[in-house]
Amino acid sequence: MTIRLRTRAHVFWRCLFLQAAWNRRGMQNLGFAYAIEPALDALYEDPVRREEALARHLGFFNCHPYMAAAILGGAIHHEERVAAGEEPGAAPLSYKATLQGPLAAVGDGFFWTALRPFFGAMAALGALVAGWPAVVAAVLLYNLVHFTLRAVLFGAGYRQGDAVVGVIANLALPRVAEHLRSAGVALCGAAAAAVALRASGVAPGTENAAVLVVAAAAGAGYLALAKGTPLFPAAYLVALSGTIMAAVTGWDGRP
Amino acid sequence: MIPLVRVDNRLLHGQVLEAWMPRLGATTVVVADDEAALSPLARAAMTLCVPCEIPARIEKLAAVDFAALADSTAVVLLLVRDVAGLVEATTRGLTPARAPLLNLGNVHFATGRRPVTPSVYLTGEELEALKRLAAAGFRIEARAVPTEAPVGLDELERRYAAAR
Amino acid sequence: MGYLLLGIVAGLAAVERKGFLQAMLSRPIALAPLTGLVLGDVAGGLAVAAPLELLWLGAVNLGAALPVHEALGTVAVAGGAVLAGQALGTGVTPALAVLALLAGAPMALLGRRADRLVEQGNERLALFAEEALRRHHPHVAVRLNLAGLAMPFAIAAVLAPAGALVASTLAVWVVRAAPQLDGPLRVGWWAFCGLACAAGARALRARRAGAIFSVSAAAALLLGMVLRVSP
Repeated sequence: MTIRLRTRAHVFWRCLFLQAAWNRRGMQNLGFAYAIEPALDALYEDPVRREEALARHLGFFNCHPYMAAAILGGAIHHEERVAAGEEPGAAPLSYKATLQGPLAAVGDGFFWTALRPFFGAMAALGALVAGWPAVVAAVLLYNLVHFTLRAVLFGAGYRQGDAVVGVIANLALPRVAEHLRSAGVALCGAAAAAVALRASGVAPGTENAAVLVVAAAAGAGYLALAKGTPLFPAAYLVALSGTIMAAVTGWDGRP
Repeated sequence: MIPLVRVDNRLLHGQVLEAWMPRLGATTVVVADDEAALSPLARAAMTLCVPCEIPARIEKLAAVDFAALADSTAVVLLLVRDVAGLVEATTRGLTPARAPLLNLGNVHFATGRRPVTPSVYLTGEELEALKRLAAAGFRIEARAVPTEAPVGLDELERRYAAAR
Repeated sequence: MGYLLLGIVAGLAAVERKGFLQAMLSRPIALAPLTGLVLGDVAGGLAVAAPLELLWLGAVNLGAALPVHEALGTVAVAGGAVLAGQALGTGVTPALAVLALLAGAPMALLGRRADRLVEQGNERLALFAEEALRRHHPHVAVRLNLAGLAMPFAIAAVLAPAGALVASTLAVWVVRAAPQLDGPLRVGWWAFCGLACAAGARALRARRAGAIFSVSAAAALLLGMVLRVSP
């Protein structure tokens, strides 16, 4: 018993709404049930079994929204076997329960704290030195990677079930993330330099002072944040002290 | 040393790896859970998400040597699935001297549970068990990530009583 | 009209940020120029995009922990700066940018509080869904998922234009009342941009981040100066 490609595509589309009704009780439960519904409709002709299947997917679920595609694919993989009578109804649930935490960690560690900030920093540097086309390019590139992985994970989960873990392991996401983070930091450093050059550029004759202000704000800010200073107070303090310092010394950022 | 024992229904996930491990400077994570230890899929999935430089051990609760963890030079973050796991650990050698701080991270909703923090839903029995652990000398707090303010046991009790 | 468009952009961004897609379109780097675009000043939005992106590079939704609402903050700051620039006829200057930032950024904190309300609303949706399933209306039950998109849209559509209004009013008032502050505020803006880069570097939590950050900044600065001197 297998479902058609069309139905799978429908599930994948709905998977993009996974967090539409995110709530503390069931987290992505409603989103997961919404996403898998077309597959269950195709698999269970008997309305009683269909409802029973949908009800089991309304239980607690939470994962990284991209990585959840793998679990959604795998849940359909198991539901096909449940519908065929090869597995008990609990099989898709234990699959979901086992994988959600670890895959969420992989997704958080790769997409949210490495890939997206890396492209964010790249787009920010691009905006500073090349303007909006660089931003468009960075966002497109990010989504090329993002959608490819989302689709690959969904397909691998559907076709391979439990073996999707091996597929994900082969992607070596934590190792790639490590490199992306370091590269992202380097981009932030380059962005600081770009800011300093822009600041000095608008005020000929005061190049060194402008570079010093930016460097001092970046350096002191980095140390303060590393010591645990919260972001908002730090931002206000730096912006206001820069302003006050300039007002007191009479330097107005112009020649 | 064991600076933190965490109760988390989801065991290893982003909050633990991305928020708690760096904050504690933890060098090792130990998952003390029978179900995870016995499932090949769970073991494979968990080793997947831990960075290679951090050793992760997934063991049956009865197999964990708390004294050795406490005495080792490694900074250990110990994870259990639920409050029951916490209680069992204390009957198997987890003492306040070895691990002073117990953290309630994620305890999901189920029928009969009341919310005490946005991510922790407790039963009356669990609250009583936590009070006994506090009386035994453990410090108990609830929060999902280190950037949140910790909620102490008195406040948890008050919120439990106020919740329906 | 401008505020209506701001509301629609902020509402869509709030939906894209969590409920649907998550394709980086609600991140400050994309959202600030888009905000500028609907108001007719892309460059003005772009001027605040990079520092806001870097400032909030660490605003990510890990598990159940809620980050600041960077999209709401972005529309308030970018919208405020662009509207102020249009009111004064100067475009977005550094002084206007820093004033809009100081007045508009707290919207990101307010947005986080609103997100808690959204979660409570969604909890009711989940309960309705369970109820619908008990009454054997499975299709009704799962479609309630989409109803969860309405509340974040509505909240952002109201709060973001309000934030932009406050930010632009304040910015215009300060610049008119104290024109001599233009220079010092410019310095304050560049200082803030420096801090934002540091915040971005910190948020990435890389090993040896401090060293990489400073070496890369110094190297890029040298390169930039060489390029500027040579024709």
